[in-house]
This record gives sequence, C-alpha cells and structure tokens, in this order.
Amino acid sequence: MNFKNACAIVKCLGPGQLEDPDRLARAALKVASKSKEIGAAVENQKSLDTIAAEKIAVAVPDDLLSTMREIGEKLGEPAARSSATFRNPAFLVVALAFLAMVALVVWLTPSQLDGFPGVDEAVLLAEAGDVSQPSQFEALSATAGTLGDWFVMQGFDGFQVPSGFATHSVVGVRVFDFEGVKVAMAVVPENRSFFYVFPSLQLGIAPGESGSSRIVEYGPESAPRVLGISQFGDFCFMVTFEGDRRMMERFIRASEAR
Amino acid sequence: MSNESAESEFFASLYRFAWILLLREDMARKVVLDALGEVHVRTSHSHEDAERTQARLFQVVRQRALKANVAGTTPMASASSGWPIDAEPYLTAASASEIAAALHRTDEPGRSALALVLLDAVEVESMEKILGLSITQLAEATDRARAAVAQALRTSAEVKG
Repeated sequence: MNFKNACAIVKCLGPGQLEDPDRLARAALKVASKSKEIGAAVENQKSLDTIAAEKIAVAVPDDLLSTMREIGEKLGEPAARSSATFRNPAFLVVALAFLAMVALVVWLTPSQLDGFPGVDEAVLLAEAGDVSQPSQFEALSATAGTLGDWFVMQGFDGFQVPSGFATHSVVGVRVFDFEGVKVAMAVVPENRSFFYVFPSLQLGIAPGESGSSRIVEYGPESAPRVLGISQFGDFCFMVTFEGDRRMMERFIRASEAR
Repeated sequence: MSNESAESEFFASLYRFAWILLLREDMARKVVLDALGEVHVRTSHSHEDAERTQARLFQVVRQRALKANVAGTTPMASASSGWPIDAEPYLTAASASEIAAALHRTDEPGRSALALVLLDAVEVESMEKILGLSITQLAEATDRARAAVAQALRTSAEVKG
C-alpha cells in the first residue's frame, strides 16, 4: 500500500474504525502515520467526526426498527431453508432430474436466457452508473463512435462500440472505478440511455462472444430498468435505460439497422 | 445477520442514512422499507454474504433517495481540506437537526460519502462499491463534504449571532 492510498483510506475511516481498526484500516494507519502532519489531521478528523456522528445518531422509531428486523430476518432465510431441504434424498433425485432438464434447455437455447457468467455483477455495475450525478460527467457533443481518443486521454484504452451504435449522439462522458476496474460511460439522449464499455475478464462478466445481446431487466417495479449487453473481444458493451425487455429489443434492432 | 444488537445498530444506521439524504422521517421510513423489500426479493433466490447484502441495502436506499429528487444544494468546498481546525465549537454547538441539515444540503457524492463514514456501518471497500468511486475519489468527496458542512455550520452560527 502506498502513502497516497493509505491517506485516502484513512480519510474514509469513521470514528469506530479509527478506534478499532480492521486489517485494512490498521495497514493504512501504519503507512499514513509516518507523516506527523497526517497524524495530527487524523486526530482532528477522529475528534470532529465523533462529535458529528454522535449528533446524527437520532433515535429510530421502535415500530420501524422491529419491522425492519422482521424483514431483515427473511434476508437470511432462503439459504437456511435450502440446506435443510438438500439433505432429503428424495429431493436430491428430483433436483438432479430437474438440473438435467435445465442443462438440456440451456444447451438448446442459450441465446434465449438472461443468465450468463457475471449477470449479477452487470446489474450492480448498471445500478452504480444509474445514480451518477450530472456533475460527474464531462459535457461534450459527439457521437459514440468518436469517443475513443477522449477515453484514452482519461486512461481508458479500448473504448469502442458496435458499429450500429457508433452514430448515437453523446452529451456526457466519464470514467469511473467499479470494483477496482475502470469503466467508460457515456450519456446518450436517445431513450435517456447510458452506454458502458469495460473489460470483460476483470469484472468476470461474460455474456458470450456470439455477437448477440443479452437483455436483463432490473430495478424497482415502480421504475423498471433494462440492460442490454454484448461482448466483443476482451470488452463488453452495455446499454441501460428505463424500460423493459421489449423496448431494449427494439432499441438494439433499430441501432443495428443504422 | 445473527447478532441482535449488531443487527439493530445496522438497521438504525440504514434509517439514519435515508433520513440524512431525505431529511423527512416519513420518506426515510418508506425508503428503507422499500429497499429492504427490494433486496429481499432480489436475494431470495441466491445466497449473498451479509457484507454484500448490507452494502446493497445502502446502495438501494441511496438510489431511491436520489430518485426522490432531494439533492444537495450547497456548493462543495473547492479544496479538499477536511474539517477546519477551528470547526469544533460550531459542531459542538449545533443540534442534531442542524448538522443533518448541513449534511443534507451538501453536494453528492460527498454527502453520501460523509454520511456513510459518520454512520460507520460499512467498510471502506463497500463504500467504494455503493458510491461507484475509487478510494481517491471517495476520500476527496468525504473531505470536501467535511469542509462544506463546517462552512455551513459556521455561516449558520454567524447568522444567529
């Protein structure tokens, strides 16, 4: 861990972490404390963060807390229930037969299924991008196919989009880190979409090199979102916007026909 | 989530996070309950470790709060200076609601970053994932938010005389 990273980590440690640091926090504090100036800054941070933290620790309504705990208990239930059920030999036979059927279906119609390695990670990435703030983007006016140089200058080498998507107008761009991997992101006015390009292997997202797009619906029912993702070489190209599978299919078809 | 008091503390932090982002108890209540429901549905067919589920809950709460269009309005301090050395009197004198209001009005992503730091409910790596920031960006946003909150409290104290 270098000094710069250690200082950055220390600035993000809350009062409790400074009081009782975990492994990462201990390592960061050790490296950062080589500077007396940082040592004094950490003391100031700890002292003032503690005051602020104590002030904002408002009481939570009892009824809300018990409701939250009731729902929270269910978060751990499926795994426990599954492990008990799996011990039943009858269930095992049925499960194996079912798995064989699923394997057959997967083999016959792979392109019809949402599932692909890293689908959860793709959704998490899309969700991280969805909450981007306008101030995080650099405004520009260009088409998606001409952004390669801009991204190279921002340290992202390899930005390219499938040919049909190259003529889409782009009004904002950014590069951000997702789980330590650089992701290129562009704001496209059409359908209020986001375009993403990122290295496939590093994030473990592999929609397959068939060239066709995989489509996944995500987000809350009140504001459903959809992503379309395809792989080209070592990179993935992903489009997201508010809508459903049919809207994404139409968008991809129209783009590919350009 | 097995330990009862740790679980209560986590849920309290989740509610406080929503409260800071929204500054309305009724909306904070709705957002955390909706987020719990959403994460429950999403994880009911898979097994996630507790740390990841907790990070996901904060992420969903933040998404829902930001969609409620209650964004910060205080321009972030231009330099990432953290708490000014003379900020203690203003912080000590301020009430919970004054500090929450100052934090609430701070720009994103600093507002969420500092709230997560003060609530101390998730680890640094989880904060990076929740906010989609690198550690350097996270540190800068947090420090700028500290400076912005201190400035807001100082201005408020000066106005009060």
